[in-house]
Amino acid sequence: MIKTCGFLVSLAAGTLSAGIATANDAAVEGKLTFDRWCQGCHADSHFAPGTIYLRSVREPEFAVIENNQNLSRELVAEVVRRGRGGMPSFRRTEISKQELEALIDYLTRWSEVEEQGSK
Amino acid sequence: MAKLEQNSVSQKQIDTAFKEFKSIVGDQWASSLHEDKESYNDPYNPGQEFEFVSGGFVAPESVPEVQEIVRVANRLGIPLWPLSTGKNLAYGGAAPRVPGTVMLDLKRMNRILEVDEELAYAVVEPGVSFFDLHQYFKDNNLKLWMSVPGPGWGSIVGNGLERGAGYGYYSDHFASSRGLEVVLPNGELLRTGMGALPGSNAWHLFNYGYGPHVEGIFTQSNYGIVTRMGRDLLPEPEFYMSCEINCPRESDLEAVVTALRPFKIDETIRNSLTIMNLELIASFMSVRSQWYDGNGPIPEEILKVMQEKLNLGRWNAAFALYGSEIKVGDAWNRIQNAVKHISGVELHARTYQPGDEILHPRDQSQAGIPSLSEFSLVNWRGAGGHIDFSPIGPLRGKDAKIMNDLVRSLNYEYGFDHLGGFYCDARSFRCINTLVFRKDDPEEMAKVRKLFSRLVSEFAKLGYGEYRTHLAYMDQVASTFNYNDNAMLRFQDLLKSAIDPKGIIAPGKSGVWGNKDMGGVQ
Repeated sequence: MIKTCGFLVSLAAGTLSAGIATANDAAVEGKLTFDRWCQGCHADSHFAPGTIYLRSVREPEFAVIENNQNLSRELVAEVVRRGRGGMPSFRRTEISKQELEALIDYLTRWSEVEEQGSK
Repeated sequence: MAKLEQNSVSQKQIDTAFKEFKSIVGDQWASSLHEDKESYNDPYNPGQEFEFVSGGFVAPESVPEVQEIVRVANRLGIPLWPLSTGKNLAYGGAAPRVPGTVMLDLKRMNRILEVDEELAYAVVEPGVSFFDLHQYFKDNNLKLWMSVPGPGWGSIVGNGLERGAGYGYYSDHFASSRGLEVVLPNGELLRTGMGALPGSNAWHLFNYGYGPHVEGIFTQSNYGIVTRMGRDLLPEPEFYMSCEINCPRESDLEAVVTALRPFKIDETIRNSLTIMNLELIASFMSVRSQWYDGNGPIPEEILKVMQEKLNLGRWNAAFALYGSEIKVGDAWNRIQNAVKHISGVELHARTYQPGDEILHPRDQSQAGIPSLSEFSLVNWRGAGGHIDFSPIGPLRGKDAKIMNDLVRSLNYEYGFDHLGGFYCDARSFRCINTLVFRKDDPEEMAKVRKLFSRLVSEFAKLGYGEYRTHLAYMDQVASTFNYNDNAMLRFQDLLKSAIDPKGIIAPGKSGVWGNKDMGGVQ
């Protein structure tokens, strides 16, 4: 028998993210947030609702948001907190301010790469 | 007296309340800022975006904090709307019935309190989602399957309290829940069933306790705040078969319901047998404009194209068989024999054993793997809004036909596609019809409002009532359950008056308001 008591979901996720973040950068925590909250709808899959919809209205390179190199920080923050189209909004109790910042870092990581490349 | 349609608490009381709420939960977890008020809305409301806007939120992380908040609210007369994860989508989302109600957001109460592999059950707080519990099983290599609904981000507790259904072995989620902990409107803590016995060894195992059974009154209700619930789980079966029966014609509905009913009654099919129409399944994997971009319902000739391209029937039954390979094989043989008289019927089965990877979304959901794949339906018409009309009927072919014909013809009359399906229990079904509309089209939303209201009244005339409904229709649906001069609603209002005389918890939930001064019927 396995019997477990007192497991705290957010603490476990936090421990995991902290462990990886020290070895990498803040965007890694953003990837964890993405996997937990966004991937279900925005994965590169024929069963992901957000991707199916974006494929129907945008060019292919914009449909999988994890690979979209044109997302701005403002747009990600706005869509997460206010929702858009069929996507509902996400509250502070779901995605904290810190997690949202990390998510934005992750989804806009391309701009950093671009800046480094141009130096 | 008119119902309390707008929270009438003074600003001074509200300011005092938030000051006290912050002292309980910390500054960051209580707020009446505009942006926070608007974050508790119904993203799919057929009407103004903030028609049901909140008055701010307070988010406790423990039972004692909930109790303190409720005592403050009671003293100051501040109505609270409890929510678990706020994903009651198609029925109002996170939003309150009365605008201005303060949201009691329980998302931070996200502990998995207990998982018992031997007796196969879990005990969770309201903030735990289906995704969370599944991840926990994976992390701890637990061979347990839960029943999950379409979208997996909902709360296990919240979905159970709304008496939702899922796709797993224990698909009636409240029927497979037992043992509640409840904060009453006066702040007192109650444990139900065997949990009322201090040190009970069977709190979450036995359906009842001693004396009157009260768990049901905390579902779809405003009599208390549930902070803990037990849920049955299925030990991973040695063999699992995911089955589909696709019937080619619209007129096949009656035959397939009749043929499969015996297997639900004798529990050969133990999970939720679903019988979905072509349009509903198409909405899980495509958008409408891929098929047709005109106004009005999709024409018959286009439906035929969709059917062929998607390799579906006009009616598509799906269910699972669990157990030994011999038992499952025998059941599938008997079921195949029972439907083979339906001309052109197609049967599909996929089998799995422990360790096999399960990739098909339907097969995942029947194996307790949550996803969001069905959520695609919100995008069917673009700028997606949706609301569910969900009447209950007897598990008979003729009733399925009557209900389907009526809802389809009314949808068509108002110019909408009909996305519908039957979620079958042993002797009844939930006839779920999703009205999908464009949120950026006020005219279309006005039509949805009229259509929905008409559906409620027309179905009630025929003896079919809803099992659950959107905020905007709670009063109307409650008014159809009016046997003997509203005896049920009068009793529910009487209970509300006794348990929550100030109407603090979720005013108006399910059409229950309390005494006449609060808008009740008695």
